[in-house]
Amino acid sequence: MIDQVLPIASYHLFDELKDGIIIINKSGLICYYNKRAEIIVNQHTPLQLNKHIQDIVPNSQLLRVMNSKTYEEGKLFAFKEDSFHRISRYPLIDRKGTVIGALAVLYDVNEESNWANVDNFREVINLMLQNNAQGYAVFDEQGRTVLQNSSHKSAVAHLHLEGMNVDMVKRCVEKVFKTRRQVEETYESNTLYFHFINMPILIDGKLQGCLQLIKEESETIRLKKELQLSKGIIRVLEQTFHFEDFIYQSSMMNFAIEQAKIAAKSNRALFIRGEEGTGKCMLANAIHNGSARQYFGFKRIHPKNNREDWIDLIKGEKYLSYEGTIYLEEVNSLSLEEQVLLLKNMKDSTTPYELIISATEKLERFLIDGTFLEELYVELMKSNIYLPSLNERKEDIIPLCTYFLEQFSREGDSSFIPIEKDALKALETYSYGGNVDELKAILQLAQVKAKVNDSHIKIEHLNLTIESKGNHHNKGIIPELEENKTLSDLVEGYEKVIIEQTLRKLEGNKTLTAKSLGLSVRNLYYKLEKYNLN
Amino acid sequence: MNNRFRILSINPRTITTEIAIYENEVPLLECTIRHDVHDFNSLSSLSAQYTIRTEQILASLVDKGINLSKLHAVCGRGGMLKPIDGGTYKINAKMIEELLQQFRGEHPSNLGGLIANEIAKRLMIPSFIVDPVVVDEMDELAKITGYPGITRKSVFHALSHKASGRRAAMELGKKYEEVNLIVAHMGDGITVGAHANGKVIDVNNGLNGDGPFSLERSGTLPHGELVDMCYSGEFSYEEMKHELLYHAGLKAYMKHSDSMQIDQLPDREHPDYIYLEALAYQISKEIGSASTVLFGKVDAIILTGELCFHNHFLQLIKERVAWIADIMVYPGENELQSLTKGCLRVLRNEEKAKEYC
Repeated sequence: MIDQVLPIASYHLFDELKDGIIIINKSGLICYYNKRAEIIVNQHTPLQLNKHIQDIVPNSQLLRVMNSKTYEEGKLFAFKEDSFHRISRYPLIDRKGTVIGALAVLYDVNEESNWANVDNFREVINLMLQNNAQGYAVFDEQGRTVLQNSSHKSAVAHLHLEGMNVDMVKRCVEKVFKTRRQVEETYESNTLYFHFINMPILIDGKLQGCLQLIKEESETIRLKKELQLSKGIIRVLEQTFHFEDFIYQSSMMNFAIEQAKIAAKSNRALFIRGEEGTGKCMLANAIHNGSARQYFGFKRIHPKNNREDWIDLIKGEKYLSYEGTIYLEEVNSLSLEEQVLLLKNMKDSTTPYELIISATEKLERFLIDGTFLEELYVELMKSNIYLPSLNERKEDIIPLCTYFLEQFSREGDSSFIPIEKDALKALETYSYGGNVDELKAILQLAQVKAKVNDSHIKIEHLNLTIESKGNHHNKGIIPELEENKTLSDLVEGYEKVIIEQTLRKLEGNKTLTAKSLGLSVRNLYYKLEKYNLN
Repeated sequence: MNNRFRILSINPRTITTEIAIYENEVPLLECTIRHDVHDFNSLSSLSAQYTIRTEQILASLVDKGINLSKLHAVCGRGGMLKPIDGGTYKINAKMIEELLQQFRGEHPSNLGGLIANEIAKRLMIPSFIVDPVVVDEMDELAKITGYPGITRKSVFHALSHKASGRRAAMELGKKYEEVNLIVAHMGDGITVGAHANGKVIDVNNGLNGDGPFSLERSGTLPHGELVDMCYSGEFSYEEMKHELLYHAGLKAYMKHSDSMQIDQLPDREHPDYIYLEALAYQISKEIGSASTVLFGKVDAIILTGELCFHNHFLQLIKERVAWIADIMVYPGENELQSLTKGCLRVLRNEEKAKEYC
């Protein structure tokens, strides 16, 4: 009974299958196919019973399998170039071992024929992620980690070591979920620089998760900073400055720098006031470098020391086609006649160069004396910048100290010598006559002394003896104002006293004296001879 | 008295400009600035590139932290001027005019004088050119060829010749103007010059098929065959010129290499070794003939240029010419250094700058 039912049942069952079945007999004629096979093959040529399989499907391999008596599974088969199927072929062998036909099972796997199937893709993406220097992680909509590559893991570990909350990772993800937009953040410490890019994964407008990318740019940023530093060092050596080379936190200095930035954009003559050592020339140079004239010359003229250039400027033709900047120092040292010429020059709008004028002394004093032209004074004050003395910007002392000590350690190729707290305090309360230059000289000497003792900079290393308290630091050194003495006589008298005192303080060491006064040794010797100090 | 001079030297190439800052003989900075060819496309002539190049040079120096106002002089590679004596020339209005108009031909070195002048003007400092390619000190006798319509011309790497000649004289403890030298500059082109008392009285024209062949150029060819080739109809005028300048020389014999580099020259076991030997042979022959120009009174033979980096090749030349005089070898081109030295001689008043007129 069952023997009769079974074949019929099998045929019906076969029709229910999702795979196509074709059976051929020993001579290659098709003796059975199910419904699915009919659908698959009929797209190309109609299947017919009792036809030779190679008449229907010319490239059929079924005969080969039958003859070789070995089955094969899951082979790729193309009816046409672009239409692929998987096919398993089995020889049909009876109990005696004789081949009676063959059977082919066709899977309808058109979508699988493409190499880029889901499985392959997953593997490729995995390989790409794991071998990428950038950190990648995918989070689901609950914020759980679905996928994370090793670079991401190590970046998170670094952040963890830094004592940095791993929350940074989560915070970024939450932000993405909240905004549904790409979020970029950076984490920066002394040694590390991480750039976070977080992208929402939106499918059909629905938020499915978040892809986080961490780029480690510590090395790039470190190199960039190093390059900046090197350029800064070169600028100091070259005596060419930018606004960023000024060290300050004080609002007064900030105001001066902001004014200077505006002045750099104008072509008007500019007047810079400030005590000795406040950085007038440095500012003038920064203005030049921040202006359109930066690719032209910066000419520094001192009316007494560069007599020839000064005469050329006010009387000659040398500068009539000069498009750079002329920095004229010590306007207070000009004679009345020269002042008239300068005023004429300033009012002449045809001069191609930019004029920056500076004065160390307060011009008002000379106005009262009648040794300074009021008209020139008014003209100068139209556009002027006041550079505060160090006493007026005490909050800048600590950053300046750090800056100078770093500079010394670089120049001396030695380690950074820290400065003790009470020494810093003393420096902050000290009243500077020579401003930043003086601070630098004090520190330079102090670090030499500290280095000898192999210690930090202590209060006893600082040479703050010159009338350190109060505002009367000049008293005692300044020569008595005598009648019939010119300004340069007075200045020379003052210079003599300063050199003498410093020399005594440094026990006659001329190299240190020159260093602490910011003079070249040769210049110091010249002055020693001039003032008979030997 | 300031005895330290800071000099900016400029050597313009086709799409790059080599610059250096020297403080006396010490180089503070040497770099090559790459220009964007697109910037040049809209310009009507090569000489018009000088403004763009100037800006880029200055911007690069400022970016590096160099204080432009510390420069004492600017020195450019000279350009195509009228034939002049060797030396350092002050850049003047006439020279600028000629370089701008390119009266005597288009050449990147024209830009050297123009850029140097522009920068110097901005900084109010002097500017110079040193030993331009047009230096002509050739003896009248040497100019005669054998056919009245054709005369020999003095076109050679004057800067390299003069600088190595001066250096050799100094090392001999004499003045350049007091020695007889044979200088062989072996670069892209190969020129062998007879320097008699500071003047290059005879030199082969390495650019126009005179003298030994070089890595890519043919050198002197038997003119019979050459004329046949010109009229064979196989080459146009331009093709013929190009063939002899770029597809000849050692490169043409060694067919399997596209470009000729010093380190690719064949060694003794190489089947093409004979061509390297031929190159050395021809250069030696040229040196030998220069020695007769100087009546055999030769203080030294100087070998200079890129080919001097190949020791074995030098050996091949040395064994043929060592009997003439002592041999001094200065490898490389050192153009920027040569420019600077020319400029220093003037700044130090060792030499007076010449006036171009």
